[in-house]
Amino acid sequence: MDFLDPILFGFGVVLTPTNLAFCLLGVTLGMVIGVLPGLGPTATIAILLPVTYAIPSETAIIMLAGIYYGAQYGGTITSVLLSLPGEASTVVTTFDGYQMARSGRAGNALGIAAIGSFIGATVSIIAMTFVAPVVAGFALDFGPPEYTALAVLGILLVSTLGTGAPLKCAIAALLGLLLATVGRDPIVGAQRFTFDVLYLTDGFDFVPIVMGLFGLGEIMYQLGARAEAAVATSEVGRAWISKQDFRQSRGAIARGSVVGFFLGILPGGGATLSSLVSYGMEKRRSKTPERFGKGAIEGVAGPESANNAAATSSFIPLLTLGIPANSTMAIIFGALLLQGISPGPLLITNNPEVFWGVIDSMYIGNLFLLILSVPMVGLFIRIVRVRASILSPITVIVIMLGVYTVNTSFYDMLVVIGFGILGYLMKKYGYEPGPLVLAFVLGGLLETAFRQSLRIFNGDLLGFVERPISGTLFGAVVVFAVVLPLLRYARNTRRARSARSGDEPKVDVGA
Amino acid sequence: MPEPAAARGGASSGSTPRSGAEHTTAEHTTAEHTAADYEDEDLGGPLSPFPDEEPDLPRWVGIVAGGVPLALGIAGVFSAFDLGIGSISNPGPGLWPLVLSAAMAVASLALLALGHGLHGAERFGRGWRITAVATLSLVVFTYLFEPLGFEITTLLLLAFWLKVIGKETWRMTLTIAVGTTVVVYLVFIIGLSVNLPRLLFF
Repeated sequence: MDFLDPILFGFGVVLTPTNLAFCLLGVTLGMVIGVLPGLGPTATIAILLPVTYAIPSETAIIMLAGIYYGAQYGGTITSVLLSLPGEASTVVTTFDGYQMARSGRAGNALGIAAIGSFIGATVSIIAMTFVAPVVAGFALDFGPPEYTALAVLGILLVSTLGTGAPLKCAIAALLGLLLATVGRDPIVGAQRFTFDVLYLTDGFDFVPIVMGLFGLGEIMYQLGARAEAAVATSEVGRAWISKQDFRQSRGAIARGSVVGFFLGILPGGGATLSSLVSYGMEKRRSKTPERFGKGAIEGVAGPESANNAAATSSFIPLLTLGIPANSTMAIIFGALLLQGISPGPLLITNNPEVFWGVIDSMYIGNLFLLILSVPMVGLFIRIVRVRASILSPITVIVIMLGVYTVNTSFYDMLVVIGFGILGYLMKKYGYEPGPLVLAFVLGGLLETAFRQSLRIFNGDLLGFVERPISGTLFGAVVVFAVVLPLLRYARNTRRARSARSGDEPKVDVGA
Repeated sequence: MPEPAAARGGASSGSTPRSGAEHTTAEHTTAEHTAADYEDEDLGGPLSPFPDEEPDLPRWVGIVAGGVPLALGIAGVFSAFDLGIGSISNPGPGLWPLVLSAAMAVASLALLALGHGLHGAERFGRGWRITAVATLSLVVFTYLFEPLGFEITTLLLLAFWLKVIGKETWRMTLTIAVGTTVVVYLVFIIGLSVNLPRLLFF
């Protein structure tokens, strides 16, 4: 049973009092910010980056991971009770969950969501425990061309699979890559785009950019569009389910878990996408699809299992390839770099305490979450009543002081404000900050890999296609960058035409 | 606008459901609507639960949305040449920025040509003034931070955001502002013993 040793070693890491405490802190924080509409897990993790300097690396990542998957549980609560999704990944839960709450079945909806989430996450963790080392072993042979292809594909998938306009996502990603070039050239050491500013000689720091775009930008955005005070439909003290509920939804939970696991691995996939796919799948499979949208319990169970499974499995590409699958993973990638650890295929051998510690912490974290979310729902629902006008000043102070502490730099504070403004303007003009951050994180790696490949191939660009793995990956790039957009364009033109003839009121413009 | 504010938490992949202009939001407020709008067919597309709509905004918004990255891309191309392109087999420092800037210019041109500039854009509304005042207060805070120490500036910034921007009562303002400053002092100075600029007599 040799392969069990590292897993047991991981539990040894998690079960120390410090790591257990930070795991509990992470998942609780995740629940809380999941319940609060507004700041999502991405922003919270960004804001907490300075704190991670003070604690050991595995502890830091265990806490940050807990925030991410904990938020998936928390977001469900407001979706069901208020039809206010705390997270993008729980939007579909509002469809049927809120209807269940309105007909007095809020407890059942929350109960099945919690159990579905737990099962989805656990299935995903078990699969990850066995799949991740295999992927990491496979990736050991990757050279610069493969990493070029992988990084391009990752950035591209995040841009095209997201909900934003693909062209705008691509522009945001390119801006992120350009921002990453500021400072010293990685190979020849020339200064680029520094405009003789001393602060820029080493390039932009990751922390102020992320805190600005996700943290401050989000707050600035919400100041202009204050959320109204939410009122719960029904008082819920605890969640429960009946035997019949479980029988009705176990198929959905099983399918959701599998869908979530696979979509989570895909770059650009993650929790939001898989919850949508699972909902669509359950609706299509159902013998009574008309119940969906009117309180079908499968419509809660499936997506909730899927988003938790995906939140878990999206760690696989990060921990094994060093390629973050979405913007939250991009921030955790940054957090690892801040700790002096470069995520990639060597992580499992060089830093087993991080690799196995994080994976095993998820078993424990999900157990914590199940305990937190079933009997203590009533407690969390009270948090929704904290007004944004009180929360945002506190958050702003945490951001400003936090970023100052990283380098005790007054300039970092100005950079945060600058990127806060950029984040705000991007949102107003329809750009997502996610692709920018992901591209910024991968920028250095991508450029170095690209230039090394050019030297290896002696300038022959065809070399990228001739190597089997990078060739396959670049094939995928072409499919996603050229073929799919064309198909989509054709479909939209068709739709637009049928709309003009008057039988479809809604036009899906250029989506 | 409760929904977009709520949904824009920016979870995985930064992909958040968009409900463009305000009239769209109103449509999606009830769950029946959202569920009805969501068709299986949409799964092949951008996978958004909300069908995108071209928001009703002035044309200049779309032109700015495409024009600014276009200008950046063009400027980037020129600076990249200044840095030195090198050759394909031995790339100079400017080659990579050149590839990126050119791609950005092309993508922006495509955005303008297809008329997708307004895609996902939102009305600034009256909210931008609050945002501007809030941003200005942060700049003032930053410049006073080192000369005055964190205690006074933190207290003042909190009070300003709570009272002027958040329109809280004086009692609430004082409680939260003083409470947060004390907690910050305990956590940052006593707990983590990090370096923050301090008042001498504190």
